[in-house]
Formats: sequence, structure tokens, C-alpha cells
Amino acid sequence: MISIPSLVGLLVAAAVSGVAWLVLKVILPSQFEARITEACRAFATAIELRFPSHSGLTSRAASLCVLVADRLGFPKEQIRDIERACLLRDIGHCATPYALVNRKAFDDWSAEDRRTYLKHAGASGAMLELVPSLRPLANMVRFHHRSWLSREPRGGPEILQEARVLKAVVDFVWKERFEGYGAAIASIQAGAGDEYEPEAASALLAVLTSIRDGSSGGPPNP
Amino acid sequence: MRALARHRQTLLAAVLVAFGAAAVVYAPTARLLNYDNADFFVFWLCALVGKGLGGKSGGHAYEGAFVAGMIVSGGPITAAAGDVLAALLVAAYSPSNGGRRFRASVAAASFSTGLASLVMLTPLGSELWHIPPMALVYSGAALSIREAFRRIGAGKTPRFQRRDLGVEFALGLSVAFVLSLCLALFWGHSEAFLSPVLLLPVYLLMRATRLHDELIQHDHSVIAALTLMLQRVHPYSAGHLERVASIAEEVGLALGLPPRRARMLHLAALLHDVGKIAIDEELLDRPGPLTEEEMAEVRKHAEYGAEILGRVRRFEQIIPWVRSHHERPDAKGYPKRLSGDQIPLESRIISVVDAFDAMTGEALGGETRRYREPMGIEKAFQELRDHAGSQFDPRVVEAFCQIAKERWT
Repeated sequence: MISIPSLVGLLVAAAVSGVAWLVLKVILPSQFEARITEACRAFATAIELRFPSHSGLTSRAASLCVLVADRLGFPKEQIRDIERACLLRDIGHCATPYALVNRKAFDDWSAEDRRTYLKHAGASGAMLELVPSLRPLANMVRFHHRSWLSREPRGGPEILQEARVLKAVVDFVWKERFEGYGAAIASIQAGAGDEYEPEAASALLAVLTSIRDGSSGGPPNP
Repeated sequence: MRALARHRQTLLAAVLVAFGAAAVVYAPTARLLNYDNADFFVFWLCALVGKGLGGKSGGHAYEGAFVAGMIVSGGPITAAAGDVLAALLVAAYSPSNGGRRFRASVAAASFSTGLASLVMLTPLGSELWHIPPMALVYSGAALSIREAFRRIGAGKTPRFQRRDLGVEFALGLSVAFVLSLCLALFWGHSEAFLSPVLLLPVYLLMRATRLHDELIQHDHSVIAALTLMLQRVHPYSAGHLERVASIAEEVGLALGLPPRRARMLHLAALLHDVGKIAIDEELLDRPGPLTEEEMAEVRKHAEYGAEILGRVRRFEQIIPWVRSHHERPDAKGYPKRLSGDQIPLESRIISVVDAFDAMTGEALGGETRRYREPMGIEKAFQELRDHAGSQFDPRVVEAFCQIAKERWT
């Protein structure tokens, strides 16, 4: 039989453990989540301010990514990661010349200009490697412009599932902004199995259809 | 320098071990009538596991309660030997970081146990009442020694990255105190076998502390990534930001800012130009004058910086400082044409230090900006003084000149 004072000691130890558990499992993780999301938003804001033509694209792409990932049955953590990767995919644009995007029409870009522009994906990945808490997103971001055909085993790198979704969504949002909704849908349909992973493309098209029909609470079509 | 640091550590460790050995020999043991090998072994095992849970960082000395138990149940000399052995075992199985881990662990164990044993000199009645103060003394000493070794080994850490030692000590000491009370209750009623239960809160607290450290690390990496983004756009920011930040903090302290606020000022100075990410790099670095329209574009960086930092709640305090770092006391600044005391003191400090560093450029080890020839240090001081009252706050200029002179002339 344990004495009363020892029982009091055990209760105190249990109370300290309870507080520590609360801090460990509830308070700190929620603070961590909030700070990572805030950091992602700060990076995304910096790039949207640098390239005003990108403004609004990120938030639309991020909300579409969440819906597509959800439709594909991704677990909660993966959905959170893909949303963050979407917010961070363009931070490498800080190395893209200001004049190229802001002063030159997209149609006038040379092949060299396009190559320069596309370097941002690698730069984004390299920058995320520097932030330990964002490092798991580096490869999603690095390959978000990689076409489905260039994957392994055809000589290209393995493309993460999240990067495949990002590719389809980001291309769609970009085309929607500059060529219109119909042309963007057509381009995703035409590119499925070629530019885009078929599953990701069809999930995106399904999400867009459900948004159009009003059966999904996603971002409205412009 | 590294060799010197290594010798300094060895010397410090030797002194601490010698003191610890002398203290345990000197400590009175006449009071200790209840030697109990079984209890001692339980406490030693708990101390060993408690240290092990601390991992590479050495933990937060929560094991102080168990060491206090070891002292009262086995005597100071046995306790010191047991604690040193536990420290060696944990160091041997921890991820290696050279001899520092061994030296720090052995020195902390020996010195802290010795110091805690001296608590027996105080007239606190039975040895039971000595347990909580012994645990406090042990934890306080162990934390201080581990911090000292960390600083010697790691060199100078940027001030804004320094951990909040006050919080760490308060947490370590209060946990050690509470656990030692529990342990005293167990031991006082011959139920020391219950002590391993106390490892549960130690384990949870260690994990929480580690997660908290990761959170702080995340904040630092975000700041580093933002400055890196700026350096990609504007290479002349490299070095400039760090210099401005370190001197701004010194000036802030000299002008009476509390240390925590001065640390935030360091952060603000590091990020004051982050809005330039959104500005055409060609304008930022063009030799020759800019048109009015181009100047207006460049001036937007103060607002842009505030907008970017506004996404992060932790930066809330520094946003007005960043937004106003180009305001002038004569209300001719931007973006809001504030005047005098309407401009936060922190912005006025950043403004002076930023201007000085931009004027002197490579004279202070930075790069020369393509659009401007670097100025001599004395001439830059004169320039600041000439514009004190109109462009710069005279009080800040004086404080800055004093600090800068000590540093560079």
C-alpha cells in the first residue's frame, strides 16, 4: 500500500506530465503549424509583389491543389504539404530577372528567356533545402514544372505525386489567367498522359466540373 | 583559434572537476545516517536515464532531483562518482561532437554534485529537507556549465539567435524543484522505488523542449531565407544587412532599449530592406540619377517590406519599424512623411546605421555599390552630423558615432 504523501507525489508527477503532454502534443504543434503557414504566405507575398502578373494565381492554385489532393484521397498531412508547396513553388523567382516577367510579353520570350524563367523551380527547391522545417517540400517544388513524360524510367527523375498534381494545377491556373477557362480545360484534357499524370489531370477536371456545377465549395471560376 | 578553444575547455573542465572533488570531500556526511544501496541504485538509474533523455544538448538538468537523492542515500563521494559515471556513459552513447561533450558532461556532473553536497552545511534539519535545495543547486550549476561550454565551443552567436536563457533556467529549476519534492516524499516514506515514475514528466518535458528548439530554429531559417531572397535580387545586401543589424542593436542598447527589444531591433534591421525583393534590380543598382517615377518605384520597398512581414505574426512588432526606416525628422521622408517622435526610435536607429553603411561601403568590409563611390569613415560621420535634425535623429547620430568610433577608428 502506498503512503498518502507518496500518493501526493505521484499526483504531482502526473499533473506535471499532463501539462508537458499538453505543451508537446497540442500547444507547440499548433504554433509550429501556424508559423510554417505564415512563413509560406510571406514568401508567396514577396514573389507576388515582385511579379504583379502572378498576383492571385497562388491562392487560386493552392485552393485547387487542396481540392484535387482531397479527391485523390491524399491523407491530411499530404494535403497540407501540397498546399504549402503550392505557396512556395515560386520563391526561386527572386532570381528571375524583373524585366523578363514585368516588361516583356510572354509571347516575345526567346527559348533562352523560357529557360531562364524555368530555372526558378530548381532555385525554389534549393532555397527550401535551407529551411529544415520546409525541406520535405523541396522536391515537390523542384519538379512542379516537370512533364509526366520526362519521369523515370525515361531518363528523368522520379516525380513525387504532389509535384504531379502541382504541375497540372499550376499549368491550368496559368492558362486560365492568360488564355481563358475553356482553353485551359482543353489543354489539361489534351495533355493528360503526356504532360500531366492521367490521374492528376482527371482529378483536376472532376474538381473543376464540380465547382462549375456548384457541388464543391472550391474557388469560383473567373 | 580552435585549438585555443579546445584548451580553454579542457582547462575549465579540470578546474570544475577539481572543485567538485574538493567539495564532495569537504561536505559533511555526519548527518547522513540512512545510507541505502538499493535506493541509491534506483536514483542512479533514474539520473542515468534522465541524462540520456537530454540527448546531445545535455538536456535541462532535470536529473538534479535524482542526484540529490543519490547524495542523501549514498553520500557525496559515491554520488559524485555515480553521476560522473552516468555522464560518461551517456556521452559515450550520444551522437559525437568531439571531446566537448565529454568535458562538459564530466565537468558539469562533478562540479554540480560537489556544489549540491555543500547544501549539507546549511542547518535545514533532517536530510529530507536538503533534497529540494540540493536539486536546485545541482540544476542551476549544471545548466550554467553546459551553457558555458556551448558558448566556448560554438563561438559568438548572433544576439537575436540566442536562446532565452532566463526562460530555460526558470523552467529547468522549477521542474527540478517540483520533482525533488516528489522524490523527497517518496524517499521520506521508504518508497524510493516509485522514483522512476518521475521519468515520465522528464521525458515529456525533454521532448517539448526539443520541439520548442525546432520552432525557434524554424524562425531563424525563415529569416535567413528571406535575407537570401533579397541577396539574390540585390547582391549588395550581403554583409550590409548583418552589419547594420549588429550595430543597430548596439545603438539601441546604448539608447536604453531593453535587451529583448534590442534583439527585435536586430531582427528588424536584418529585414529592413526585404521589400526590395519586389523592386526592379536594375533600378536598385543603376549608376546615375533615377527619374521621379523610378524613385517612386524604389520608395515602395518600405511598404512592400511591411506587407511581406505582415504575414508573419511573430514580426508584428517590427512592421512599423521596417515601414518607417526612410522617414525623416523633418517630415521629408517616406512613405508617410512622419516627423520627429512619430517615427519609432527603432526606425530612426536603422535609418542612421543604414545610411552610414551605405556611404562607407567597402571601407567596412562590404562591397562598393556601383552607383556610388565609397566615402571615408570620418567623412561619413561628418555627413551624419551635418544632417542631424533634418534627415537623422541627433540623439541617435551621437550614440552611433560613439559606438562606431570605438569600433572602426
